[in-house]
Amino acid sequence: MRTPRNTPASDSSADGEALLDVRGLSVDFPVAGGRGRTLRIVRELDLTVAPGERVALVGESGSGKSVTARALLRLDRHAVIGGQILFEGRDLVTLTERELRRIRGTRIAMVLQDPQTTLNPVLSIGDQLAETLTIRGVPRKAALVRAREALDRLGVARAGERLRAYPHEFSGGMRQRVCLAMAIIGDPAVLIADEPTTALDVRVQQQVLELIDELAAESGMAVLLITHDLGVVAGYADRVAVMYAGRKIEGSGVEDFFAAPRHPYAQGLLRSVPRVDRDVSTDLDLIPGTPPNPAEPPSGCAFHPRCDRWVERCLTEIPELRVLQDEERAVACHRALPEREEVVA
Amino acid sequence: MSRTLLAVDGLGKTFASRDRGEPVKAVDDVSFTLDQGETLGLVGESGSGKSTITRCLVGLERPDTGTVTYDGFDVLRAGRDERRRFRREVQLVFQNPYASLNPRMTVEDLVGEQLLVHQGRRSREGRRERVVEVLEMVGLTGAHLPRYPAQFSGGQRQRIAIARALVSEPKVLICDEPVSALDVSVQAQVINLLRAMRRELGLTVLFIAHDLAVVRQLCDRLLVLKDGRVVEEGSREQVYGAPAHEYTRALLAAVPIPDPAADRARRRHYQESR
Repeated sequence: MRTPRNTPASDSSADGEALLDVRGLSVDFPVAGGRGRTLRIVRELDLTVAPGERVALVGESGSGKSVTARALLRLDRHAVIGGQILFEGRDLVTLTERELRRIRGTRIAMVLQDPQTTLNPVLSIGDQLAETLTIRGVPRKAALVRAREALDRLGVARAGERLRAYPHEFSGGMRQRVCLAMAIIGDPAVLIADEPTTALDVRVQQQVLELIDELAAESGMAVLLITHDLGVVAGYADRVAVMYAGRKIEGSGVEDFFAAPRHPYAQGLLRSVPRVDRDVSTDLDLIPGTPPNPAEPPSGCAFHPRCDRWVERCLTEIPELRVLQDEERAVACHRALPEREEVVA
Repeated sequence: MSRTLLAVDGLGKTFASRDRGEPVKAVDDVSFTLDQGETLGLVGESGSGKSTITRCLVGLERPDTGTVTYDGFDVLRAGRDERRRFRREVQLVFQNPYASLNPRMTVEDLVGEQLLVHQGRRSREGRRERVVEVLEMVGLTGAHLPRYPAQFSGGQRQRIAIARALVSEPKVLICDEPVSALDVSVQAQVINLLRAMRRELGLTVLFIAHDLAVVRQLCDRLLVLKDGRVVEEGSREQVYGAPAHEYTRALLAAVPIPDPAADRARRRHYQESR
């Protein structure tokens, strides 16, 4: 495990050297039977990822984190994407489908939550791995050699033999390694991992996350980790962005974030997580209520109905994400929490 | 000494393997007791046998060997009246409230059904009164009576499932991964609710879960399962403070902690003690 790179613990990547630079991203989906009506799932999202950096995008269901991840590669055909997604000097939002295909899977690769549904059950592991390369013109034999190397690198024993196996012959953790091998076989610059370990047992989760970590450290691959698990963020990310109701509400370095989140939602979330290293004599702290329905977001700040710090202004005015003075972090809140002193650990 | 309510002795269940290989021993000679008023955690990864044990306990699966004793009688060989009593006094809460509640039944019918089955003599008004009482206990209200499950969020649905389990005044609650399908902020609400119900109703709880952080907030005692066998049994203090089995240590070392410094320290601790 690596120590988070916290220099500087900023809301954006160091020295403006972003590899992936997302600006004002919005994602709209047409409403089924809504006669052209659309629903905005992601709003005004800024996000940067530098080479070798591990950025976590955190949120509960309906927060828009997965939609964001998929929008980066324009995977949802019906989604209407606004804003800019700058990658290697190009804006992915304006590329043609043909141009984008050269980036998907090779320059920016993705690992999804469920390896069971990611893998094709009727193709051998070797064929699936090699396919990533053969569709780009690499001869089959050479592709199979690289497939074997990729499995080797991910600690799959007897890799040569395993190439001939089918997904059902693998355990969940092994399948996720295969998915990871598929993602890295083309040496991507960015890996987007959408809840890559949510379906796995804890020990396997740890192995998979550590593999992703090693790959990032060895090759300078950037990682965008989508997760709901703050424990995973603490262990495997350098920076964190928290999403709520389609917006980024807090962004900062991991150490700063866990020392004292400044957005009431982020703090509430952190306090409500049961910890394996702590007994509770009293009940867990709670955020009342439930995350809002994306179809009917509350007025003003979307968190105000669940917030205990709200004022008049929160009901009408959507707080902008602003960088806090003297701090390398951004918060979207009219009543951001004060720095450490008032915050109970 | 507290009274033993539920005792499992030498439980075993073997399934034929899918690809005609060796049969799989899903549960292999598992014994434990559940004392009145305690919360026992059954912990393990997928394939550890925790679900099969639960299924055997409530009669969804017939064990090959072993006995299940509830309040003095053999559950697997019980007569009609005893079986009926067992079903009334031992209630279940399932993992997925999207699947466990009939979508065509209103909250009133979902929760009230238990009363019809187990206490048929109550009048319609009497049932409604009791249903509202239980709904209020779990943080819902009488206004929810005519609604359908689809009109509720995941956390609210799990509250309905808990109300349904509690309405017949059970002695034992068996919870099979009751919070693992819920969002983080909602998960905490349901954990607190279960803590409150246990405290206020003096419930005895068997809590089946894979998440060791959640189990720590709820259980007095733990049973750690691996490949169908019990590898460790102990009080909460013992299992979390000084785990005896290598496997328990590995599990504890792998649970992420939402605190970078504590996470690093903990990993070092368990790695050194290995």
